[in-house]
Amino acid sequence: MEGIIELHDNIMFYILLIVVLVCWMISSAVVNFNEYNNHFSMKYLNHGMVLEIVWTIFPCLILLMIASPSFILLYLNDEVVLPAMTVKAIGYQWYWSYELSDFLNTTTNQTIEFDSYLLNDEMLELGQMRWLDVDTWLYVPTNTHIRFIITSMDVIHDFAVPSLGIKIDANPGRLNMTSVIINRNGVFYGMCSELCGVGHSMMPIKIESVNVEDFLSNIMEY
Amino acid sequence: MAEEKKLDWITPQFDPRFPNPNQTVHCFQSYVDYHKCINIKGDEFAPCKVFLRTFTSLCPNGWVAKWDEQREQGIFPVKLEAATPKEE
Amino acid sequence: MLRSQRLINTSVRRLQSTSLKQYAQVPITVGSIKDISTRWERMPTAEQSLILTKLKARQTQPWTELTPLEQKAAYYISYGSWGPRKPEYAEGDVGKVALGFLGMFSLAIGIFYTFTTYVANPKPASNSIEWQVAADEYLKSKNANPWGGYSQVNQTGLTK
Repeated sequence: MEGIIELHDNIMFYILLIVVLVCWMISSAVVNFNEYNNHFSMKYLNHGMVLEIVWTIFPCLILLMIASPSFILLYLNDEVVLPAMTVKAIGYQWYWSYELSDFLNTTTNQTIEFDSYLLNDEMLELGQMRWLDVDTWLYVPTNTHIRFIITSMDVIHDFAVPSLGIKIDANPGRLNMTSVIINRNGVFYGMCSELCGVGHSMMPIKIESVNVEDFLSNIMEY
Repeated sequence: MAEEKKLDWITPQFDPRFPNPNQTVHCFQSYVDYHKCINIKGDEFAPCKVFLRTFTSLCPNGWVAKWDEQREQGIFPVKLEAATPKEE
Repeated sequence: MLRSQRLINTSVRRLQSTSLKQYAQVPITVGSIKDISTRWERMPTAEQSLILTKLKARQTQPWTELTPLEQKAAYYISYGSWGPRKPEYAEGDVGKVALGFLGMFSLAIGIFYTFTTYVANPKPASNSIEWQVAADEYLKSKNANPWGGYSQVNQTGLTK
């Protein structure tokens, strides 16, 4: 997420550069070369080799300077180094199901899995976010490298949590991987972002990040 | 009650064979490897557990259940037996 | 349009060979090209092509030797607002355009308010102020947007 914000700031610099340059060129063209006040005779101004070279090379350089940080970020996002836990998010029509199979209960050989359904209007309690709150949501530890494995069991869904900077397609028969480090405790909402049928709008994602100790004690009680 | 439930917290680490976001083969290969491993070395052989942890962490439980069923019916698409075939 | 253009072209070609020289030296009579911008489109094709030929012949001379009227006529025929250059809406059509826009705009607003007052009624319980205050409290306790602060109540917009 920090990388995405930094890339945005980086590109914003070039955008401002371009905006200022273009505005300056337009305004100076309007001021200096209008109907009443024209410094050139267009009849003899046919071709400017230097100008052509400049306005071909300059955008190329700008594009290169934008491309290099964005490619770095793109390929960094693909890497998942040293994950500390794995969360499987599985899309169904129309709810998300989460599996935390790292936590193998060695006595019963069972893992944690649960479905997270939307709360409909009748079940909603005062203060809950309508069409964003779910009955059981995902708890994850803060400051931990979390690997999300995202897949689907029926049609293509999309696991998107904007404030974590993730948006990964959930394809049936394919496991997509992405990684997240959450730096603060809090709740994060997201929604399915790939049109997946009638209930597309009714499969929100709610992630709450808590301290590692709280998380572990929660897991124990589960 | 929390004491008697013993929880491990291990997650599979980066595997240079599967560097991509697509982890499907990672999951499937671990499943195959695990069953080959226990067919050769027996259920209790500790190094096989690595594959077990990998595929339980990566594969959706639904997939594992489906493959288990296919193995029982003998229609699993990969040969899992040791080189000298036993029964089952 | 295309058809008459083709007619002009052929007649011009026919005239060119014979009469180019004789037209080139003599200025075109004032009467035939005066106020050409108002008369041009109603002229018969034969007259148009005659003027075209004459002008073409005249323009073989240096531009400064043409009379101002000829210069104007040549400019109008090449670039004036006739044929494909005619504006789609005339000067007086501003009111019509504005009226059409306002009509469609108010129709859209009407549909929107009809739906919000009759179809989407009653509004969901979460639309009430108490609910949104409670939601704000919850989100604040959960650190939602710790920098800018989160609020549904102080927001401005249609949903309020």
